[in-house]
Amino acid sequence: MFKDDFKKQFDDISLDRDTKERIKATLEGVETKAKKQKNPAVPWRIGFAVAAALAIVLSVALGHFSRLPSIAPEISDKETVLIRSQSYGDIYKALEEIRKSQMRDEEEITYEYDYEYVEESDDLATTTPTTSAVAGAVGSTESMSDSAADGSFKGSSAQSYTEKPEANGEEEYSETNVQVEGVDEADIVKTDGKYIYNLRDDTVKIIEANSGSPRLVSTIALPLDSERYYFEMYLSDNTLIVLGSVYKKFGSSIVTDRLATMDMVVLEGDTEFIAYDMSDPASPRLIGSYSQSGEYNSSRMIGGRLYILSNHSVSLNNMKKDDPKTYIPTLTNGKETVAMAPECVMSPSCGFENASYLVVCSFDAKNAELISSVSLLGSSDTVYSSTQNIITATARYDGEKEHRQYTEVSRFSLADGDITYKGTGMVPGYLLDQFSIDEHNGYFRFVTTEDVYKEIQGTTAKGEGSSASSSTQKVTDGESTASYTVGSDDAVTDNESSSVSKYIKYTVTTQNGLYVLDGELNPVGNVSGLAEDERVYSVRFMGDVAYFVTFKQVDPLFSVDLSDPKNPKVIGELKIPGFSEFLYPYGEGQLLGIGVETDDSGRFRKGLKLSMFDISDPANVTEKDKYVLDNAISSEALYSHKACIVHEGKNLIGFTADFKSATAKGNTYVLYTFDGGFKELMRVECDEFSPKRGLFIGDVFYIVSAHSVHAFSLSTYAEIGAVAF
Amino acid sequence: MEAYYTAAFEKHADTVYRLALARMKNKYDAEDIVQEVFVRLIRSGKQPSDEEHLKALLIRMTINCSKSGLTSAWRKNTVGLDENLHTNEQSRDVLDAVLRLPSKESTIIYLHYYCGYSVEELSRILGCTSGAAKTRLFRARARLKKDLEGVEL
Repeated sequence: MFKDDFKKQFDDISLDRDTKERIKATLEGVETKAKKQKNPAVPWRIGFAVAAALAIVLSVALGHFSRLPSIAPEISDKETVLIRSQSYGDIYKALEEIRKSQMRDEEEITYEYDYEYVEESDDLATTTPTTSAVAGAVGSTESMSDSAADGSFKGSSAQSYTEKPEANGEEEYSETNVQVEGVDEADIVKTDGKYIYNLRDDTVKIIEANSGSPRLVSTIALPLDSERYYFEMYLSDNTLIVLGSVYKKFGSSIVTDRLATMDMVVLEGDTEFIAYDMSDPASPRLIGSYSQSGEYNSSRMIGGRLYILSNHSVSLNNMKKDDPKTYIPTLTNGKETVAMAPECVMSPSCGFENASYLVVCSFDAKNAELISSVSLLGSSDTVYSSTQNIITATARYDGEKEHRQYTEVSRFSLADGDITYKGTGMVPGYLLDQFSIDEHNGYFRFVTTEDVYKEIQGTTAKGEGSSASSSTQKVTDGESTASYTVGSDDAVTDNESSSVSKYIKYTVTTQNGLYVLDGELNPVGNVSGLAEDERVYSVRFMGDVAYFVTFKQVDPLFSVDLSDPKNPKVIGELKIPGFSEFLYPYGEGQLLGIGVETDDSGRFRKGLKLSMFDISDPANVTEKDKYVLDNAISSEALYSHKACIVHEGKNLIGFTADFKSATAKGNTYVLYTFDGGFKELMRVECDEFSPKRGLFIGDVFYIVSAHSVHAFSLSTYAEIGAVAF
Repeated sequence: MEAYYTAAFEKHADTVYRLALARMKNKYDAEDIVQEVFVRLIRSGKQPSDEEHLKALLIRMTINCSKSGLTSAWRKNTVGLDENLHTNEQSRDVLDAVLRLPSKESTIIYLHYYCGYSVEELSRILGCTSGAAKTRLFRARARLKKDLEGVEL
């Protein structure tokens, strides 16, 4: 059993004694903050009430799971229309409805998460073809964009790299690898070409690059009152923005119920940013801070305007009608906390089932002031932004009828900080990540993977062996994905006399598609049903052409012509072993893939792989060259585009790699160039530190870790300087 | 260090370590996160009396700490740790498959199968909707199942 093996194997992992002792020794020196709050600020009575109520929420939600293939419906009406709320009263009423319906609907908690559902009548034995059904190509994960790992790289088709004009004597330097040119994405390391900013835990280290002799010039100690976490930052015209979460009531009450415990741990989180004026990097000056309700999901910076998206859950049982702050998202500017105006809150016309809000705010980075805010009853997983629009996407299920998955997408226009909600639509299936979304000429395009459930009713005759089976089996070679097609009904009647059992079986296969929506997010065109039993691994839109990679055993790279939005067409398909997790435009007619090389069976991973595709003719894509890093088993570059530098102008491709044989304690940083073929420039084994990011300024390459910055010459590739902190 | 924190460390250090490992994929960063989480716990002065509460708190802190990418300021660069991650080389297929998952999925698999949290609990602890938690678990399972070929999940 998976569960047992998993437990056993994970039990085997533990901190070794030395490490434990070392950490304990460090902990000895840590002091509880002076401002220690005397135990529970909240009377336990309240905690208990919350506990009881949440238990009910749990039973309702899980109640759905006891039904069929365990996919619960979240909203049944896809034609949801969102309307501006007239008053707090309206919103309160709607939330009350949710609360009441949850109270009414009490069901036993049976949590079964089984894909395969076999309904037996009679004494159907085990003769039913055992399907390992579901398995297959369903998986994917990068898509539920880890908010923090939500990335960036440059420009769809354009050469996005920020090549800073060397006009005023400034050296060229690399910036965070972002998706859309002109739309910056937050990261843990930022540079302005002179200074390197390094965010780690609750400090920002400012390091002067100093042409290869880096030196620490200042340190910002971020506020630590209440429980705070800092995730990533922006640097814009001498303004440093640090994004984080603040948990004001973190763990501050006594609760007895497990779920209520979770609630206390999580619910109070706000997303906050702090702005510093860095005109003098040696002495950062605090500008101000601002926070909005909800867990941090993603953010963008466009022309000095900061956009922050968070997901806020309402604690239904703590709502007070005359205190909107208890059920409306709030904004705090450092001094006062106000509930968002009712007209800023969009709610579905037909009621809604999830008591959560998606909060989108825009700020003027320079002075940390709010420009506008919009909230939507709902939530968001994946976030895409062009310079004009933000698209949010949330995975949904329609479980009652067809067990289909779909993704709800919403559009917000930005207009220099003035955010306006423009509509909601849907596409079948689910998205991989932000690169699965694109805007071009007023159309919005989405590449999705869809799990398709098939209900199979059949009968099996007992004792007759396989000949009696009414199902024909179609097992895809060697894969655990299997799909069964039902044979003709005649087969059943033949066996009427013997004891016949009926069964209903659900199997899952996957397929992929590309959907084009208009500005109101109505469907315009699509091409679907691609690459059955495979799933999308990476996507890149480049103007009128979309490229995406699906994978099961070999890696087809599809090219789709989108010049007629109503009629997208697959124009090319290239099959090679392995797969690419990310695709980056790399110069004229070239597309770089970073992924994994596998053997022919698709099961054994040989190592990380760089592929250069020739896309000068989208209908006839070829793999120009590939480079396999043998025994490199993992890399952050497989999960986050921000972890790599892909700079076509300077012809550099760099990322960290984790080698299997590593006796090294840290990771390795590798740097490549492409000139007809890949060439390794550097392979730095980082024994004493764990490299996180690479960047260049002029002719110096910097490897940045939590505790150091190392400088390397880009002509000799030798280390020329370092600073530890 | 107060006795409370010593006990908390002894009892939960490995839980935190395993989760950190599932997220960070390497022991080097995972160890950093263990230290960071307990430093934060002590600094906060919080001493939940309920074990479940403490555990949930630690899990949440682990997730937040490993979200921010770069690791602790307290880490010393001098520790030599050459031992293999696993003591038992024979049976690490499942473990490896889980570690190969992207952070979000390995996290949810660990919390669900190892710590025993339900989907609703996961949605709370991860700060997402139960639908998102379900989707994530669904995909993680599907990917694992494929990777492990036929293993019953």
